[in-house]
Amino acid sequence: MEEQICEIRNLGLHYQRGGRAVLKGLSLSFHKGEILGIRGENGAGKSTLLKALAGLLPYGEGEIRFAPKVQKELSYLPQDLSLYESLTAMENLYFYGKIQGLPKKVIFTRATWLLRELGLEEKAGERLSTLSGGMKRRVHLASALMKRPAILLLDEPTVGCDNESYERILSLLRKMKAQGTAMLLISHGRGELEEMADRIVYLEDGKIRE
Amino acid sequence: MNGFLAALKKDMCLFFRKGGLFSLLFPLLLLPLFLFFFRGNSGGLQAFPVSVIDEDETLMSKTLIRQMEEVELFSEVHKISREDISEELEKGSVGVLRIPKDFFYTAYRFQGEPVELILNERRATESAILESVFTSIMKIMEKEQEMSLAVFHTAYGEKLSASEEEELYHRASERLLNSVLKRQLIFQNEEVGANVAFALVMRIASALLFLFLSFISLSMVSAVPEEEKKGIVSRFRQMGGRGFYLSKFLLLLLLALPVLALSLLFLYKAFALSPELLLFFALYYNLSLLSFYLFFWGLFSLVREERLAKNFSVCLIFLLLLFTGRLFSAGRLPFSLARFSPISINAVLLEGLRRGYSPVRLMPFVLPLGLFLLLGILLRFMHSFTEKRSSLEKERVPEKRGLLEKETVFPKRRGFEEDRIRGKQFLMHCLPFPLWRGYILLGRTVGVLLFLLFFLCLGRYAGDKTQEKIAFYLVNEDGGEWSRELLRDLDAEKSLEIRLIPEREKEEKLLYGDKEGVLTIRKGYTGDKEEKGKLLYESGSASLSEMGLREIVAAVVAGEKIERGANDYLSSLLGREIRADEQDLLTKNQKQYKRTSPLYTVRKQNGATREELFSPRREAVYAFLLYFFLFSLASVAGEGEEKRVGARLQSIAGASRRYLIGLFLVFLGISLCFFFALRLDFSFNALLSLLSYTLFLFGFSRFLSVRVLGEGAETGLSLNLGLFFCLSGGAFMDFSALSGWVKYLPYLSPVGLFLKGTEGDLVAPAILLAIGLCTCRSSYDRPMRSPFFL
Repeated sequence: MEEQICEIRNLGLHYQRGGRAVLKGLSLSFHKGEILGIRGENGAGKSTLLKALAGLLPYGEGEIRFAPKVQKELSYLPQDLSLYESLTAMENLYFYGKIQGLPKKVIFTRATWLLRELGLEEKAGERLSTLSGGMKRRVHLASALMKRPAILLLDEPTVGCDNESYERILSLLRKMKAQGTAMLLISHGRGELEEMADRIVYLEDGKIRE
Repeated sequence: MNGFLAALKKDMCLFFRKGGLFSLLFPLLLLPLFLFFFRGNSGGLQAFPVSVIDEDETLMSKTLIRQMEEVELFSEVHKISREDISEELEKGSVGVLRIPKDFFYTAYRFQGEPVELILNERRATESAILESVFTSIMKIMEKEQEMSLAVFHTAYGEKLSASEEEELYHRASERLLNSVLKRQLIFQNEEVGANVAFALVMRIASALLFLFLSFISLSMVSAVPEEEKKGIVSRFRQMGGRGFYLSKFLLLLLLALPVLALSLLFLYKAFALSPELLLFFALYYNLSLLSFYLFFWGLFSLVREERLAKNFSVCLIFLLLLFTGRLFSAGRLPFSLARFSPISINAVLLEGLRRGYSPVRLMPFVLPLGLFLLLGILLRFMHSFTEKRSSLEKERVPEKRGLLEKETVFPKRRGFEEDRIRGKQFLMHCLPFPLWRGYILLGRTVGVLLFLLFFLCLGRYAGDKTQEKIAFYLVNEDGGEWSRELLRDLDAEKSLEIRLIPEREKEEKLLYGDKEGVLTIRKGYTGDKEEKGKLLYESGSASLSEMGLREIVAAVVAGEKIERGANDYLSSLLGREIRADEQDLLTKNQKQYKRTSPLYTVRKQNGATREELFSPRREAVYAFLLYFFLFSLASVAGEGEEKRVGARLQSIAGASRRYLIGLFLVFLGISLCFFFALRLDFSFNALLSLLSYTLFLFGFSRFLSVRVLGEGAETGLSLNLGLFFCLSGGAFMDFSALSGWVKYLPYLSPVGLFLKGTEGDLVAPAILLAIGLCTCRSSYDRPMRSPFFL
């Protein structure tokens, strides 16, 4: 059995005090190198769960426990592109590398490797606004991998991607899994959960249905 | 038609979401506030207290103090001792005049201690007026002394007896008082009231009108790059829509209507304008809107990036404010260029309307506005040209691509491509992270170059330290010997700059107001010994130194009058007509008895020395510019893209902190650039104020962008708040010159607090630091509960 790196116990979350509960007593755990797929209808609370895990949302009930140092090695990739359209692909990666405190040499080595893996080496110097939707998604994923994460929280990483982008993204995710990165993957897509996930859970009305 | 209405509705939504509401509210909020500050007595230049140390205690000194008590400009004349000087200045006395023992007696022997005037630099405007009055009187006294000595020595020989000296003292004192008290009678109009308050109102009103018209137009077109980039315009046209940009302009006219109505009401009430003139103003107002709209439309279309275009526009607006001299001081641009400035045009028009000039006479002054209109059309034409060129290139792409594919076989070509990419990464490799962020935020190379150009212009503004002279036009209707003599003497005055013009140009010059005013030497000046009302001085539209100029001219005229009266003086002393040899001796003595030691000294206390009369300190210019520049830069934080990045950074340990510190360092770097460009004094207080003010601007602008306002909305609000802060903080005027509670107003404004900080007040930067830290903290999102560790 792999080492457990995160455990969620009875997690409850309301967006407003006294409002509708988005997550209700949710309990879940996952292990090192595991890809956990999360599926559910719109509004089921999938993105909210990821945001709570990323520390972006305060939760009212329950608890989230991480293995030592894992929380600092967590990387969250939101569904909306959080990149600068006026910057080039390389500049966006440089920004995310610098903001995580990486030295310049590491940033450029890592960014070049990531762009090569994602088939964007030629596009490194081009502004994001000139790239296609799928290419932007690839840069988006690269920005989450600038510092090798222990847990990767992915909110629909392949939405709107063409075949090439889709394959490149999944291929890189497989490599990350092989290196021991655990992933929480949300997707509505073409069977990527079945293809990638070790385990799939269904989220319905804020609760887990295995 | 449906398409047009849809475009109109869309523009209205965009305008209000991008901060247009604040641009609209700007005159409605600021104008009444501004008029409130200047209403009635509270805004005008008030009579001020002065103090006198009478160590002489003779009849002459007592008479002088009595005369001072009757001067309307002085509210109180306190008699104090030498030890109380500092205390009196602290209490608010504008100046202390010290008459040393035996001053009047010894002065006629060119001996003894000079009279001393100590000015309170904290009340700079009043100090300047007091200084000009004092200097004028002292110059008359000097001339009178010289003349009296020459006359007495001509009459009684080289050595004067005690009784003759006594007579000299009494006669000269009598003549001196007469000359001093009647010195202003030379002017045709008796009213000597300082025009400072009205001139400031005119300056600020013209600048406010310009800022409103330019910023509302800018808000309306700020969405253009996004609309063109996303292909909304071409899609609109493809779907049969017409008038995409016309709808924007029509909406602009519609939204600007309330302010137009308010302005017309104000003009009607204040100047009782005829319907014809009101209609003319309405047409001018709409022409201004059209010019600005076309100019910014062209600019935003050509630049294609909203942020860069906004930064460029803001820089341009501030340079106009600085260099055309309608807000801060006399223009730094040559007048031939300054007359094309919309602020100058506004000022000229307001002044023309106030004077009741007909539309036909005012029309030529409005025409330079067409330059903006033409520039806008030119920029738009350039945009169309570049668009057409790039679409032609796109059509050629398959051909080109084919060529490239073939060429990639050659390593040279590939190497070029790699070099190009590496070249783009060069700055990332070389610059520290905050500098690289600054480079990106400013708009990369073009933005940085524009930024540098802006600083060069600022440096030029700050570097011009030439002594500011009171410049005025002179019309010589008399043309006689006396008027030519006056002209020579005025020309010799160091503080004056004269330009002779024919009478027909007078009205135009008065309207433009590029110089302080027009002095007319009326017909019959030569030969009129009484010289009553023979000079006419009319102030220009932005004149701030009417009183100073009148005093200098009065002193020169009084001096000439004393010289011309020498023969009569000698004749009355001898009791007969003077002979030819006596005339020669008098002329010789006039040259011989010239004062070599100073009769008076002026020193300044309680404040930093000002470089320019009636100009705000460079610290005020710094506070004003930095506010708008950093606010404009911080508006990035309100953009959706930045908000998404900011939210994601919170999931990365330490990233938000690094991000904020990096951004703050960019702000601090820009603050320092402004600091050096404006050549501010390098001191602990100045640096502490700079740091606290920058932190405040950083925190406050982020707080507004992130927490309070939507995307783009801060542009309009920053304009309102910025002008309010600058107005109440004393950036445009010296509040110490105003009476009552108004002078404490700077403590309620960050700009005022910054200015207080540079003067050595430590509480003011502490307040700014506290507000800055609070707002920084509140704009920094953090989850309320952190996850536990296993």
